[in-house]
Order: sequence, then structure tokens, then C-alpha cells
Amino acid sequence: MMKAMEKRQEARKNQEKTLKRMMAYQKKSEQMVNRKRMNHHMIRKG
Amino acid sequence: MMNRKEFYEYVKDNVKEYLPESYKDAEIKLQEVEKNNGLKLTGITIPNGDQRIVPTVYLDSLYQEYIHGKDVDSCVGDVADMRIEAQGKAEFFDMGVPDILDYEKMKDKLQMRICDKEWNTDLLADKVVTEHGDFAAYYAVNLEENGEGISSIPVTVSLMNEWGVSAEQIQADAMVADRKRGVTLMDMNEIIKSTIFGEEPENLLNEKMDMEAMENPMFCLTNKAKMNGASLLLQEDIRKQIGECLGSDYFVIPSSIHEVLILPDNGIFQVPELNAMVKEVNETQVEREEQLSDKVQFCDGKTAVMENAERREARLEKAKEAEKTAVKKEAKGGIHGKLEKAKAEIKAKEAEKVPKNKSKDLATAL
Repeated sequence: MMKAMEKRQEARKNQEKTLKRMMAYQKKSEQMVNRKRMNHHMIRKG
Repeated sequence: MMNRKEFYEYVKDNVKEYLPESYKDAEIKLQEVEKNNGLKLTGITIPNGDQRIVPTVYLDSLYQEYIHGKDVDSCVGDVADMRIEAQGKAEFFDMGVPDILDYEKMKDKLQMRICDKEWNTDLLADKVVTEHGDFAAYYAVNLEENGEGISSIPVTVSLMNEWGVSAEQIQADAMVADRKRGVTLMDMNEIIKSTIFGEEPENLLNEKMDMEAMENPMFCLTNKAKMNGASLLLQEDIRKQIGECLGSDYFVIPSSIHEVLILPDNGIFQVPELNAMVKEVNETQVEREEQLSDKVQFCDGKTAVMENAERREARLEKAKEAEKTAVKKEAKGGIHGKLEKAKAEIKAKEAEKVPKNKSKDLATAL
């Protein structure tokens, strides 16, 4: 029983690591897109 | 407090006390094992009888526990427990060892693994390797793979020689085996949602997507198990399929050895900032062993030709400069040519005009 539980924790750990990576990249790419939009908006305003 | 080397030696000298009788004659060895990206781990092997496949227990994380206060003998006990736990699997594999030398039985278990060429010269030294631009592919035989993990052995040059096949054959068969593991292209937002809410996201690989309808399109290429799926990037027909789905060229972000991210080239992203993004996420979110690379790739959506995005930009810039220079030279050459022509005409006219004195003399002479 103990062995099975530990292995499930390993699978969950991998899933958590994947989620961490995905969220980091999503956040960064959104920041880049927002920066571009702001610059574009300022150019238009200016 | 023991230093690292002393700790490893202590474990080696004392672990038998915590193991069953069958290990009493074991020849215990410490060895440095090369892992991904220059990472080196120290493992201990403790054979049980005359078994051929001996599990390695890595001691590095135990040393960390020791220096953070764990009793050294508890650490030794943990090593023994891990070794005993691994014994069942080792016996299972040991039974299948004769089959390992039978390529026909192993080829369906092949898996392509991808890594950064520059970061892994030592790791790749004895392996069967195929090169793909910034990346190198090496190969493994997955003796066991399920939702909980993978147990594998690397395909070394000596194993390949035992099989009597070529590296090209191994690559081709590994690609077929990898495709059977399931190829998925998924929307990043859907992956994140599914991890939280549980529903499996849709596989978009055979769909045609409307990029303009998507606010911040970003996709993930991996396999069904989401383990070692980044190598799917090296298959040309998969890259072509992605190009067809997106309807455009795209950037490839080397997220980890398990997956890559796909960003359509819609003019928003600049290569230097993409490279900076990868460096930062690698440093803060990805364990060294799981990092794939820090080099963003550019992929032509139609031809599926993939190249380092930064080098591509430099190449295009150079070509642009060369074209500008050629155009300038051509324009200059045209004016210059006309000037030279005009000068030549004047000279010619002057040459035709015989000097007055000379003409008088000539007339007198005649």
C-alpha cells in the first residue's frame, strides 16, 4: 500500500512541476503582449 | 560533520548492516553518474547475488538531508530501504535481460530523448546520438512505462553493435514508437485548466485554428504521458502538421525535456525577449536535469525547416545588408558608367579634331 501511495505522489509531483512551468510561460508571454499593446496605445495617443 | 566524500564512504561501509543476508557478499560500488546538462550524481550499487541488472541509489539528496540535521545512520537505513524496494523491479528486469539483445523485441520500446548539444558532451559520449541543429537526440529502451514513471536503459554504441543495426534505423524505429505513445498539441490555457479541474484538454493537432480569434495563442507539444515528449519536435512531419494547424511560421520555446511550447509568429514577439524569457523560466522554475535548452527555435510553417531563431535573424539581417550594398553599387555603377562614357566620347572627339597647325602643315605638304 505504502509503495503505491509513494508512486502516486511522484506522478502528482511531475504534474505540479509541469503546471509551474506552463503558468510561468503563460504569465511571461502575457506580460510581453501587454507591453506591446501599451506601447502601441501610447504611440497612437502621442 | 562529515564532508560529502566521507558521507558516501560511510554509507558504503555500513549499509550492509541494514540489508538482508542475501547481500552479505555484495561488492558495493560508488560511481559518478552523468545526468542531463552536466549534472553529476553519486550513486551506490549493491548487487544481490549474481543479478545482472543492479539498481542505483542516488546519495546526493540524502547528503543534503544529513547536512540539514538528519542522523547519519538514519540515512544509511534509508539507502538500505530504497535498495530493497528496488529489488522487485530489478528481478523483473533481470528476467527479461536476454531479450534486451534482441532488437526486434526492443524496437517498440525505443524512445527518442532530446537535449541541448552544447550542454551534454559528456552525457552523450558513449551513446548513440543523432544531431538536429542545436539539439542532440539520444535513445532509450523503456523497459517499463506507466502513469507512475519510466524505467529505462540508454542505447549505447555497444548496445547498438550488439543489435547489429545502424543509428539511422534506431532513429526511425524510435520515431515510430514515439508516435504510438500519442502526439498532442494543446492550448496552454486548457492544459492549466485541466490540471486544476481534471478534464483532459482537446488535442488540436489535426484541427485548423483561427489565430486571429485567439487572444494570446500559445500551445504545448508533448506526448500523452507528458514525459520526455519534447523529442517529438524533431519529427519533420509533426512540425509540418503544426504549421498547417497554425497557418503560419512559429517559434519553439524549449520549455523542458518533457514538452515544448509553440508560439505563432504573429509579429508580437521579438527573439531577444523570447530568449530572455526562456533563460529566466529555466533558472527559476525548471530543475537543471529537466531543462532542455535556452535557445529559441524558429520553424517555417510550410517547409517545417527549423533553425535557431537568433541565428536566423542575424542571417536575414546580413542578407538585407548585402542586398542594400548591392543596390547601392548598382546605382553608383550606372552613374559612373555614364560619366566614363561621356569622358571617353569627349576624348574621342578631341582626338578626331586634328590640331590647326598640323592641318595647315599637312595642307602645305599635300
